[in-house]
Amino acid sequence: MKRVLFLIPLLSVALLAQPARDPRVLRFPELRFAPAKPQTVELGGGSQLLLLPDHDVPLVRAYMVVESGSILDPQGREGLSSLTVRALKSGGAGGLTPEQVDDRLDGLGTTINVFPDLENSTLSLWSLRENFEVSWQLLTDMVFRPRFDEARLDSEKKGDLEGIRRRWDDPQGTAYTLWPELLYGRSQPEGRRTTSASVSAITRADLVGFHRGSLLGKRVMIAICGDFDPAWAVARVKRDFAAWPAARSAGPEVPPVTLAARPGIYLVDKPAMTQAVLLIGHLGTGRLDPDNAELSVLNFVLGGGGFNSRIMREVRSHRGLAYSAYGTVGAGRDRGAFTCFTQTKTQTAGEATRVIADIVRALTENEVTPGELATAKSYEANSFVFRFESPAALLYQTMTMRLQGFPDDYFDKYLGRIAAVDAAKVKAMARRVLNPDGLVVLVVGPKAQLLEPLKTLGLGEVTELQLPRE
Amino acid sequence: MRKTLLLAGLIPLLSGLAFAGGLSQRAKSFTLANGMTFWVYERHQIPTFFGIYMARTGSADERPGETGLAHFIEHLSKKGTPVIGTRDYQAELPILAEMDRVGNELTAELDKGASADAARVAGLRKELADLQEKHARYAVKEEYNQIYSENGGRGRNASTGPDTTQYFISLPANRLELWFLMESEKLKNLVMREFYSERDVICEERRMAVDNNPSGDLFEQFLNAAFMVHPYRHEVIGYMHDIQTFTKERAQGFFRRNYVPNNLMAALVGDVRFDEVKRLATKYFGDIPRGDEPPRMPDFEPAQDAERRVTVWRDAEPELLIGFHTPGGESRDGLVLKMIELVLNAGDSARLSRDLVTRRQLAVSVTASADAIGRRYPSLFLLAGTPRHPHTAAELENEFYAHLERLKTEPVSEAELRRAINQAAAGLMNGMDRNMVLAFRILSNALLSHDVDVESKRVEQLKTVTPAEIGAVARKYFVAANRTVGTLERQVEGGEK
Repeated sequence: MKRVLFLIPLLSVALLAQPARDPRVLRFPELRFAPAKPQTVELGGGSQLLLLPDHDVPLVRAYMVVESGSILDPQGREGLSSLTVRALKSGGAGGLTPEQVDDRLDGLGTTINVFPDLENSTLSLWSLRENFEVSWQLLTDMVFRPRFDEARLDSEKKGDLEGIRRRWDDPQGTAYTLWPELLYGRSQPEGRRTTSASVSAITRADLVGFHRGSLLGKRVMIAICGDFDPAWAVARVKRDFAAWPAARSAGPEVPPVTLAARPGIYLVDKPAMTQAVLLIGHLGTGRLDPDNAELSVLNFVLGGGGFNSRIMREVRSHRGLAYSAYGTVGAGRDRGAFTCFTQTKTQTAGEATRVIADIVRALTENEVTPGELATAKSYEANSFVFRFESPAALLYQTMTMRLQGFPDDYFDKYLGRIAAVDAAKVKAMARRVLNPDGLVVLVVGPKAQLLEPLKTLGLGEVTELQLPRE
Repeated sequence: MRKTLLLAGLIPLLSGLAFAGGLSQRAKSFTLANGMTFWVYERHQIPTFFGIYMARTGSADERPGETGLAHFIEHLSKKGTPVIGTRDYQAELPILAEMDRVGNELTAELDKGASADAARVAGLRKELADLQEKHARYAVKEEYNQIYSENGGRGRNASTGPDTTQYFISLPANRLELWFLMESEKLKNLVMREFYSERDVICEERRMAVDNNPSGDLFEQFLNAAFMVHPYRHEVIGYMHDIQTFTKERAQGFFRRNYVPNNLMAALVGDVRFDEVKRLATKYFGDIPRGDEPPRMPDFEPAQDAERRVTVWRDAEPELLIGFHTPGGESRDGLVLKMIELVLNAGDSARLSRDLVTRRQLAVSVTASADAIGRRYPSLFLLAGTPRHPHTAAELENEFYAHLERLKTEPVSEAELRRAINQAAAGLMNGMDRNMVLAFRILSNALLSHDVDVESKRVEQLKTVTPAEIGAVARKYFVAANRTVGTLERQVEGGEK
């Protein structure tokens, strides 16, 4: 015991002995804020312009979110929507060649980015106040008058083909490329991916057709915030978008999602690795799920609440098995993905998988603790203000939620719904969205060391996946 | 008028930029008696703020045998205090002491290297694991994070680089005092709990970011070749053996030497008031005594006088890195190298991307960076590229050299210089509407360059760089004997192509 006492001064690294202060004695004044309400201008057919001026700094940000994405790619032309949207920016616009566009943007110090995605495609603009009008002209030229330059298209396609060649180089990239295929299958939009054949087949005529038929005229949300003149913006956007054809519905009827892979373990052999990448899960839920307040609390406790979550605490803090560990039940178009991730040394891959599978099961069998519930609910309530932290964030959120069909008063009611969540409701939600007997496990790592431990987990058969040359 | 000029293909210099005078127009500071400086930037639109403090300590302050220690301290910093993270601090103490005893024995055994007794290592590891279980009865895991989360904290994180270590979070504006209490307690009363399991966590981080990541692997090998002696030569995460053998005594020593208020700088950006920040800073940080200046490594990297090459064979497609030693700091040569970086790299119109990616399609990505490794010591001018099949790293390497030769022999055009300056000038506005970006800019300027306005002054100075200077600097630094070349190549039978 004496030795222990002797060691005590080493245990606290205090710069000098001071009584430790407990943060829980602090009391805070109430936070008063009312989220800014953007001005909305209807553009017809469900398309809208949202405005939120803020003259603090002489910058303008603008966004265009079009209801068009890879969900509209024709079979055999996977990658078309992405190439089209990227070519809006890179392929020349209006009277300017591609290089003239690049020179113009760099000379102005303006940034225009494009973000192709599954359901929506976004163009963003960042400019100095003094250059906003000329930058806006460039952006609208890209959207309405793209030139789809052949040489630039060739360059973009070659970049995509190189990406496909490099698809299996990185173990995490390998796992996240294969995961949607396991959950959704290659025939669902969520599970499709580009191949050399699909990219090579795409021609300039395909881009022109996609632009005309699957982009122009889709519902579009436009947002502008920062240091600009709203009266000018309303007049200008109305004038520009008078040329936008009448809005059409999003696209093809897609059959409902069903889990593609048989539950069990899927192994990709990477013989030289000293770790295993693990993805564990199955399908998730829909984004308009009426119980999404319960889902938020469940996700926080499961693996979405960072260091407060069970997966992080058990896999990382308690056992030291991994640096990165998380998991959430996603809410998607029809059904999102329930995905847990970790990456651990080969010797502990079985243990880490077991720990995560047990956490999933426990949430369906027992209620979350009062402490976990309280932490999750306080987090939701006290961090609520961050949903509106910047004009850009507020606008982007408003645009996407309107496109996705959320009611406009969603956030007005949200905290009341969080307050009503209790442990029994979280457990009921867990039982609805988690299936501990139906887990799909994807493992990327050295087969020679992983195969036997994985077989003994009791999580189903181990199937080896070959990496296709595609 | 402006439009006419643009259509004529001329590029006017951006003028009348707000904040051209620098961040000091709105960022105000005060320094406590103990030497700790606080920066305050008030933006009251939304009731939140971003709080950060930065230590002028990073992996460049580590000695051989203790690589990764700065980063390990960053991990340990959230393990709590005598009242955060515990159910019964007094009951914890003997267990923690016992863990240190076993941990030290394990380190001693592992330090024997190849002659370490494997059975004894396994036995000690088991003992540590059992003690960890015993300790878990008293520990409240991640309570430090939990308190922040319950108070609405977002994005709590920390990062370690070669030059600095930083700790940051966004909080609702009414939680300002919480930030001061939590961050000052970390300095005053840190308890390094879960020391040994956290060591394991970092081993996994290293396996993930370096050992099982071909690009990470290449970068470590490249740094090891480019620097012979200076600590910029090792990756921030450290070498595996060092990580596995950190002792608590060593960690505490490093913490005590470096985490003194005179080596720290804080910034609060958002819905905060200068006077209130000053009052709370004095209350919570004012009683921490000033310490000795932390020991600094001399710049003892020997001048490079021979080309160095390193090839890493992995199951992956090729990548290329080329580094040239440069003087670093705020020297005139450094400024000219910055201009070269902009001409080569800034935007889609810049030379490298236009020629190698867009026009000739030899690569899928190319970048250039004038101070790629750090800013406290002489650094590297780094060129990096990803060749596009069937083009090889060797081909791309030659293309990079052709661009460097062109800089040496052919004056850079006025239009390119103007585009470069305009991009740098617009960059001054980058993140002016984001609390986090602003705070990082303020601190890296003030802490690393000792001038919060350094970026705007640099833009003014860039306007004075002449094509002749660019040629001279290119001829001085971009020579074969001053370069290190690293390539990633696909592994084939026998390990070589």
